Amino acid sequence: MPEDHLISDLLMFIRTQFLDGDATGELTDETPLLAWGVLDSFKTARLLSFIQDELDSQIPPEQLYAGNFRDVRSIAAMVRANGGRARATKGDSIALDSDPR
Amino acid sequence: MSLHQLAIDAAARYPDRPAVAGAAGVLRYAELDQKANALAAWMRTAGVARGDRVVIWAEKSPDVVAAMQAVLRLGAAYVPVDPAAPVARATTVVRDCAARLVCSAGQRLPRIRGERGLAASCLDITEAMPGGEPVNERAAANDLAFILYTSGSSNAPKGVCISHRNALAFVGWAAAELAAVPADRFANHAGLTFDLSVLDIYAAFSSGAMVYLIPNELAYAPKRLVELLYEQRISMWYSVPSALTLMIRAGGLLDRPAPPDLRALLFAGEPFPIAQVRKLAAWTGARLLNLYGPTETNVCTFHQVRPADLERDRPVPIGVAASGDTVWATRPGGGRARAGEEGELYVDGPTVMLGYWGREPQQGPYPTGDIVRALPGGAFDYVGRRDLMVKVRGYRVELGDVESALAAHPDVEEVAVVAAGAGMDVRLEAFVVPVAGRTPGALALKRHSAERLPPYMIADRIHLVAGLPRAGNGKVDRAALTRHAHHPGPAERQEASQGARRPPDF
Repeated sequence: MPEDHLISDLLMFIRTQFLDGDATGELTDETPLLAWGVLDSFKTARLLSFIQDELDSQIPPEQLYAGNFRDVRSIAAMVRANGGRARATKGDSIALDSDPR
Repeated sequence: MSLHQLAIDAAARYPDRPAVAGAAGVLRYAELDQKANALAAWMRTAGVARGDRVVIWAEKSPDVVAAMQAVLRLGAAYVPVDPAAPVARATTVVRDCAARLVCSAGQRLPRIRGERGLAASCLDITEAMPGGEPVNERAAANDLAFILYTSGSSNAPKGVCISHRNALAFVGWAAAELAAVPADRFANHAGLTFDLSVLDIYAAFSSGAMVYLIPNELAYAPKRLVELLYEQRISMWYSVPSALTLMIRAGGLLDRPAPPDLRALLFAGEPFPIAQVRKLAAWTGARLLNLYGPTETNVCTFHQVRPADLERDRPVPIGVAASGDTVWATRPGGGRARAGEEGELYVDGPTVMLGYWGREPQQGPYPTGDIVRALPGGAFDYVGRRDLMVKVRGYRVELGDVESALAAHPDVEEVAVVAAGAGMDVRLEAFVVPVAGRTPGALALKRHSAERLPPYMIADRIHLVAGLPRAGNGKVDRAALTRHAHHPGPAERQEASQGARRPPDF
């Protein structure tokens, strides 16, 4: 399977912002984010900011329901359906702090 | 008089006025009445009778409110469960209260139906139903109307049993204090598992007014909340302070002139930082009301914010007795606290719960576990909790529950959880001492917790540590842990700067 840059960007954001870097490498694109408490209302709002600002995707309010935030794969599908693109394809690099500890 | 009589009377008087609205549409009083009767007829067929319990596990909607009325009309009691809770939590509640029926909808139905050994049957409340004959079983004052489950110690959920008399005493007081009229439009921000929602729904029904249900997913989407306030011409807003703080910080609430329809902003559930109250007072001429009371008594004191309160450097008082209750503070050594003294707040009167489900009935005054300071003139200031119960965005969380869930993981030797931050930014930070040779990951521990606890009780951050600091008495030094949690790492500093650059935008 070819590398999916959009999924990588979302994984990287969630690892660095919400999982202290995920040193044990547990996060996958199928990890249930809402069910395991990785995302809550506040964190979802921050993730949406990232999606808008960095992935160029405006998510319409009617798509803001739990099913679309179930896991990284669902989020990526929603972002893609709303015109979002991976950062790497835009030619800039990920500026997130990748080593928070 | 029964709690369900409020909607029945309003339907007779104001059949064409809107009763309950939400994203899915609006029900007028006549439609609410009809829907409630139809659902009651179905529930009766399913075996629900006077004295039974019916669990409601569904997203907020006008249909859900109709189902609540249907349950009451049968002389039964409804038991709301957080729609975001895992199916295991829902079934725990179903079993604990020995529910006859579970009302649900959508994807939750097959999940709850799939639970083996559950005696209760299931009803899809969104299914179209034929109209039914009026149903209106009388209820005695001390009959159970609903059960609100809260976080209890030792991982067992505690069901607070509220009678018709309990609810009506509070609702009657609130409607009179607010001078509610049919033209009023109440916002329902809190989830239906919260006692705050009792005011929104039933103060509206008691006055022929409308209640607008804000979906749980939007409860912390600040821009949408601000838009709803204007679009829906809300006149009565009631929420935890965190929601208002977020609307101020990230929703642009204060950037527009206050809506002319807004008559009262009510807040409860945690102390509201005074700086935010000052901003609201400068923005709107609406009444600002601080309501106080644990679920066990609903609102037992209240305070209307006055100009002098804004000059204080602490939250506004919780005020004086409400809902026909009597309140006082008992000093640690015994005896009633006089002005200037601190003590535990006690409540006696019509809103004190029947008791916890399955336990001895509540006898006499209810000790709140909250420390207050008596003020001259009979009012009180809130000081803090006696035990380790904390509030996370309005949810009551017993830290011991979070700890015992984590401690049950095979890789965890020892754990302590503290609440760090303040107000809207409160988060649960867990300090975990792993079993020798093990390094449990944060996700593994979150997953483990999610199987046992509702989402708001899952620790936000997990720190793996070699040992826990101890105070002189051998107890875990929670103050030291809280100081450690407050010290932000690089990732958090970056989050803070990003937050300042651009607020979340739903």
